[in-house]
Amino acid sequence: MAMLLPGGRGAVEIGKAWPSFHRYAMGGAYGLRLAGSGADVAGLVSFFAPVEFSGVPDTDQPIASVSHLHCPVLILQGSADVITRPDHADRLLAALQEHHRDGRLEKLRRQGHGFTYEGAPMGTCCNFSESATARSVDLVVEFAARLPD
Amino acid sequence: MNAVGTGVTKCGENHGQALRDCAGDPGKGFLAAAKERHIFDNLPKVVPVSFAPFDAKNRRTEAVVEAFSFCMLDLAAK
Repeated sequence: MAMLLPGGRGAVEIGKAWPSFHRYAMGGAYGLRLAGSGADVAGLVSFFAPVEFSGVPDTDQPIASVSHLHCPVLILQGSADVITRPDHADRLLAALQEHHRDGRLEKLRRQGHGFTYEGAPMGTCCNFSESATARSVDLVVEFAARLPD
Repeated sequence: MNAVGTGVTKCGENHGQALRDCAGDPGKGFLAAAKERHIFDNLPKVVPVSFAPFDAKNRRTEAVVEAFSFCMLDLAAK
């Protein structure tokens, strides 16, 4: 999942149909693509985003979008996420730093994918941690508040 | 903290209506928490412009929206 905070320059036609990365949800990966597409994005919140897939050309990998990003990025990641492993978030932060981009990583301790409690099954019933989801909201609010108007 | 003191909310527990509405979508935890905090209450709504449902021929779903405040991208392949 991703949250895109638009800039103030109005609509930009990016007009591109992207191939899917995977059969499962890819909001975080597409958030990186969209933020790096030339769209008017003031800030990107990247929630547990996978940055690389097997069988996808290097140029199409989500992490390849980092060099095209110009907005601050907040990465939110559960440290116990077994669907998008925490090393994806580490790699995303490292790539942002390598390209001198404004990136911040917040790992939520013992949280799984979507900030479910560690080991919670996915796809049957969500087991969201109230403290972790509340913390993630606080972090997003803080992030949005420091973006330029 | 929930009623049993674990800080964990499961579907069907007797608190947090928004969290009880979750149904397997990893984005719903955050969205439910934001909704309960009324984060989105005073923001301009996303205005749908057009929507073309999934077309098996070109394998594409297309939605055009006007988003003045923020845009959530929460995709799930069906």
